[in-house]
Amino acid sequence: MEETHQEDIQLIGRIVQQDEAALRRLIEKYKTRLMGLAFKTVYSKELAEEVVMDVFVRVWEKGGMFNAEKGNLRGWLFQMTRNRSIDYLRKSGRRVDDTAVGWTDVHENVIPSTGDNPEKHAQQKDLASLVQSALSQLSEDQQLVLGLAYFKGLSNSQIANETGIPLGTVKTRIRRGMLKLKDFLSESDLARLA
Amino acid sequence: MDDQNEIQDLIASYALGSLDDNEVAQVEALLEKSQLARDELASFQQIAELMAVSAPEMETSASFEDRLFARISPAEQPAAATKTSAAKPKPAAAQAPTVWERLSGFFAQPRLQMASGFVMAFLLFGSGFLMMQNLDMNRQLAGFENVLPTLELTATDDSGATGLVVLSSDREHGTLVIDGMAQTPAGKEYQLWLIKDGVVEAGPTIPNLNEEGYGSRWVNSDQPLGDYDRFEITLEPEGGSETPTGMPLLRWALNG
Repeated sequence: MEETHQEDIQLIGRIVQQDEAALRRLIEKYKTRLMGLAFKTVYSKELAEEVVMDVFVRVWEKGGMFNAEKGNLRGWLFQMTRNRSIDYLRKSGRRVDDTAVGWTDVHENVIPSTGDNPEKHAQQKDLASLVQSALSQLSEDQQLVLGLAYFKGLSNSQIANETGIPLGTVKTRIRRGMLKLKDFLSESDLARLA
Repeated sequence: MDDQNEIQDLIASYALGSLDDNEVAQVEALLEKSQLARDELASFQQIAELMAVSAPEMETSASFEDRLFARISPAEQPAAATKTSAAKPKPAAAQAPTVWERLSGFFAQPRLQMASGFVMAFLLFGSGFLMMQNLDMNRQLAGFENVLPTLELTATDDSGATGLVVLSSDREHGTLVIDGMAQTPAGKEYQLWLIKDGVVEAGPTIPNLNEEGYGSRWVNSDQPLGDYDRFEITLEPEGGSETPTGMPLLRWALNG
């Protein structure tokens, strides 16, 4: 992971200098993961692609805004992708129940990525499997509230309205769900994900 | 439920961005004064990032990169061909158009020239000076940087964000322009604060940033804007706060 982090720092430094080769490398490295994240929110491959394109354009134009002291590049990319996806979802005016919220749902649009590096791909797949395995340990109710909050950008009170779950219970399920995830993942697992 | 669990509930939801505005302010006030709360938040944020990792990977279409590079390599920039890292370093922020360039460009759009004429006439001379209508608008726009008093807000960190308050000629009112700001999290907006002799007054929020973090807002106050000795921009709950809850991101001060 440290190696990846170092490469990311180098890439963003080169992107700030408008090095297209570095941007291509960054795209190759993260596009499938960002696409998956965007798709989980907007539930449309076309829209997800628009989101991810916006994110990379922003990296190209505003890469200098990334601050390595405040977090890693992957987290920054995830955050931008999530925020942009939620913006698109809100603008589309679709109701949440028109889109998927399940954690383990498999869609026909989801194509397993092989990438250019089988070893790295296997490692990433391993990470995703690890997290999905941890998520599967949560109760369905916990998965639901976490999914609505994270992927659909709903506030706790919106979740309560959508699901009929009392507001206090929504908050408690979010906390307990997150603590449970942490319990399932060891420190070394978390370090790999950092 | 005890207080500790209630606080943990709020911090966990804060990490996911699912709190309502009043609760966000509550958590941020707590984070300001409690290292324990900040540690809790860091832990929950780490978990939140796992959510993203859980999404199955998905391929882009075959034309994705072509379309992307067509967007970032416009025709007027033929030099956008691949450069190597050996090229002379040039920060991205330095290549971005300045606030003035963007402001001038905005007003220079043909469909906005009539509207900008009214705005400029109001700002520059008031409604009594209709002679503006007979002048070449573009020539005036190019020169208005030298006509109107301006106050430049600078970033408190290395974000590269900038801001500008363009005062009316009598320094009573003005327009705030910000650029290069980070996209706001859900339920948050940037807000201007007007400060004089240590008294902080709430200014307007800037709700509609574009993708490049650019936005503007008319600023009015009980006393002339030119009388304040400091302006600051912070990130606040949507709709604005009565007192600042976030750290200053942009600042202008009379004495530097």
